[in-house]
Amino acid sequence: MNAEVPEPLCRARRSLEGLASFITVGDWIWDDEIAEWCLPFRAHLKHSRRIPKTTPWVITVSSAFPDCKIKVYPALDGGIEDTHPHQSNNGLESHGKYCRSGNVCLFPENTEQGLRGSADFTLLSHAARFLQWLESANEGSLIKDGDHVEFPMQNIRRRDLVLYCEDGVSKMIWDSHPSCRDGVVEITENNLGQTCLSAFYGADSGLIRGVGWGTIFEKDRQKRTDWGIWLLASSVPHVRCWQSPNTYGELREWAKEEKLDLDDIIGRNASTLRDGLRHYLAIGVPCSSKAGEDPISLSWFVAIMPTLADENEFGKGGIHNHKVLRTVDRCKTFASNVLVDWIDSTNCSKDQMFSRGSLCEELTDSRIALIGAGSLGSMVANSLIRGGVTDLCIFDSDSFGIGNVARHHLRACDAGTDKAATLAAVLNATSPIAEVKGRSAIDKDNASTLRGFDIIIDCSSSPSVLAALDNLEGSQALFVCSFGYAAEKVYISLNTLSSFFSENYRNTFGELMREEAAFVQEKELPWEGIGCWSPVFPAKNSDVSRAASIVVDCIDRLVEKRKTRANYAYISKRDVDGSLTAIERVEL
Amino acid sequence: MSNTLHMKTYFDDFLKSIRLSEEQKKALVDAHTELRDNLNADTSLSDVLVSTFLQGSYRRSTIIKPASGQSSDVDVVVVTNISEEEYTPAKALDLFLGFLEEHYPNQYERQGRSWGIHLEEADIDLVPTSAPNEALSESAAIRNSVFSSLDIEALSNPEALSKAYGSRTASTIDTLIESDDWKSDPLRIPDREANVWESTDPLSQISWTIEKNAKCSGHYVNVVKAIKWWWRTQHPDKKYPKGYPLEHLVGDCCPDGIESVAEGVVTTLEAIAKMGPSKPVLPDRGLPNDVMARVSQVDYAVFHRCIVDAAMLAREAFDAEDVYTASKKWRDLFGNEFPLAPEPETKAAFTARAGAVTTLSEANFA
Repeated sequence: MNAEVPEPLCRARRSLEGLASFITVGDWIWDDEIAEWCLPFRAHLKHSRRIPKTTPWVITVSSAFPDCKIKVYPALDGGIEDTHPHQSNNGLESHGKYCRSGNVCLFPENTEQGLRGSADFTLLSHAARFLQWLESANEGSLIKDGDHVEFPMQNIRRRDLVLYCEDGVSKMIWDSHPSCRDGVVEITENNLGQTCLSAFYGADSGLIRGVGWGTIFEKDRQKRTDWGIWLLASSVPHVRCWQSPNTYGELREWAKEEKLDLDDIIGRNASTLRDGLRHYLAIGVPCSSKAGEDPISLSWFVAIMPTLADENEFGKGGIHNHKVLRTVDRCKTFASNVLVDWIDSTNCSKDQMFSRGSLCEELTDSRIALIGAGSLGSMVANSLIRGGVTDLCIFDSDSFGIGNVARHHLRACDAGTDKAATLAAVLNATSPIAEVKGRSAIDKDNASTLRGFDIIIDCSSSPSVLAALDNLEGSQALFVCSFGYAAEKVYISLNTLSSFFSENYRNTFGELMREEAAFVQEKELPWEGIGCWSPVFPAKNSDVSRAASIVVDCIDRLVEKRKTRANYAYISKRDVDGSLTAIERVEL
Repeated sequence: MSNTLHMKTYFDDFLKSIRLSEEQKKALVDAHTELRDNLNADTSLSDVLVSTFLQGSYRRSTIIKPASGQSSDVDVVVVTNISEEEYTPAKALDLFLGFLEEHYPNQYERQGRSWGIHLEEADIDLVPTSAPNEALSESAAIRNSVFSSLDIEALSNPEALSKAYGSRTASTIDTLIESDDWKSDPLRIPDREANVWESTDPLSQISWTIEKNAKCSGHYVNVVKAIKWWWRTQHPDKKYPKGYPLEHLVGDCCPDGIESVAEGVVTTLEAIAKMGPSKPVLPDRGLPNDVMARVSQVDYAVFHRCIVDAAMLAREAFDAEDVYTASKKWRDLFGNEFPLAPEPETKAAFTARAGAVTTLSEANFA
């Protein structure tokens, strides 16, 4: 017996009356298999092109409706079997009693919130959005030139992740080997336990491409290495319009369209892989970031193959005829109904990893020296790495103290270690393509090493470092960054190495800093430890984070604009209650 | 598809609210099941009893929920093999007296053609009949419990069928319906007051309703329910025609091929209005007797005036430009059980609302 339908659902269903010309709505049914309410309906198109004129669908909501996901699936009974763009894989196990697996993505442009409101508004707006999707699917216009590229949803049943690194440069390498379309790939595990596609070999065993992973691979560590088969194709693996192949039968169907003989490729490259273990299959496809544009990189679609036929499985003596093994693979190992065991794969190239929030290219492509791994330096370093900087050298000779934890990127477990080296290790683990090194502090004797960098950022607030920077020649950008009491004032100075003079710096910022000093003398500073004189400057983690954000933002803008000189003081403004109201920049 | 407002979802919910509840349905089926079990177990009746089945508006899916404080009633036809030559109508009814006294003491009363049994949640009319020939006595439909308690809507619903009769498939039941000759022979019913046996054909009424409902894409029984609801709730002071005569009239006036309940209600009311205030003669399904015989011309004329007004209102509702106006008009016709749509929102306001929320979301990331 159907459960009593809650009134908000009844009301919401009635709201669909406004779409009666396009959909015929059934009544809500409770599906106890998935614990969701299901609303079957039939959608009507004026003309049938890719989708029949009338098709059955099901809207599902949870009992928390309207505060829940509203999904639309093809009906299990008579629903469309193809998968279209902006739709989940429709060839998988059904979703509950009434739905196929391919729910439609209604929010390709991050518009979900716009479809939400009261119960009736929410259902009506989702249904209206679905009809737009259906119309576009019928017209074949779900992906238009200029849209961001979307891959079909693979049937991924394991939590593993394979990392690869492909960009415009690597694509040129691939393009320079036009005759190499398949071969063997070396897969290594980095010191975080992640699986990475590392080296691709051609049919003649020659190396075609080696991947430059960051220092995340400890050079002296025994690496676990695995092997697999790679092949290149011109289209993303897909069948039935836009469905990722779920079985080897479907994968073969796609390969045939690509004029590839999948069984032959596996057979030719499998000789070293018949060891009773499972190996990888990596399919590389040149991809653009937007539809209709030329490919700019490669994407890899990775699966774990079933165990290849092994001569030992044929009993004593075995079978050494590889033709027989290939036949066994084709007919049994990779039989048409065997599921493709896809693994999630992700591109770790800089433009892919940091597309959500990258610093400017001029900065990320630079070799950067960061002097000082204190509170400000550590947070600046963290922001640089997370903003796409890969080549960073940190100079500091201090050890990390437990009291630093209050405002530092390192943790209590790092206490007692070398600040620069530990911070470098942590940042290398943050980004698999980062090459962060830790070095001892800058002084007069080693200051000249800074000339090997493109950008130098001093976050040491050390007079001796400033003195060491005097008399260095070079056109490299030098940023001197520090902050005042409670990080309420942030000082940033930009010069070239040649034009920097510590005296000029003191003259420029001296007045502000002297005011600060007078102010600090009136305050009781925080006390740390039991030393006779060990006061520390006061600033909360949030204060330093704010200062670091200002510093990185300022550096990013100045580098992008190729400025060579600037002197800024950023001053926090607060109301009578102490709440931050603004940050004012004063040009000095 | 046209832009006519068929208000399907609104009528669905309206009909849900005027149907018997699941509890009320269960009470009827339980009462019938208990009566049937008691009859089958009664040794004094075992020689004459052929079968029992439900009939009436419940069976035809044209029943509406009872008025507050009232019980639903259901007709249970008891098919016997007694001979008209051997039993007078009074004697035929008296056959059940001992049975009723034993199982329903103080709960039964003698009526003209039946026994009324008044239970807590259901009223049963026990209607003794005589099967005129062997063929009907052995009718697969009557023999078969499939047809004893399921209503027409349940019969057309594979899910309900499989729940009730899991071992049978819908197709075997369809075959049973097709092959049965239940439409051909009326039953005989004893009229104690007139002291005659009369023909009755409940099975023809049921089969006619099934066919009509199929011709109307399943909307016909709902049109009957809606019009019965209108008449009972909007004109509670006026009684006739009611029950089967009203249903029969609707059946004659409802066109085949209607696309929705809304269309069925409008066209039926308009057709009745068009017939004029003179009481029509309506021969029963399968029998020549006039089902309107007991309705007076005066009552019918009053009924007709109400129908004319209702037809105009229904037409306004059906032709309304927007869902809100339509729902308001339908509510005027049927009362508060008909759901009212929210006040109309202009397209600009709808877009503005969506836009406002979008702007908010664009400013909030986590």
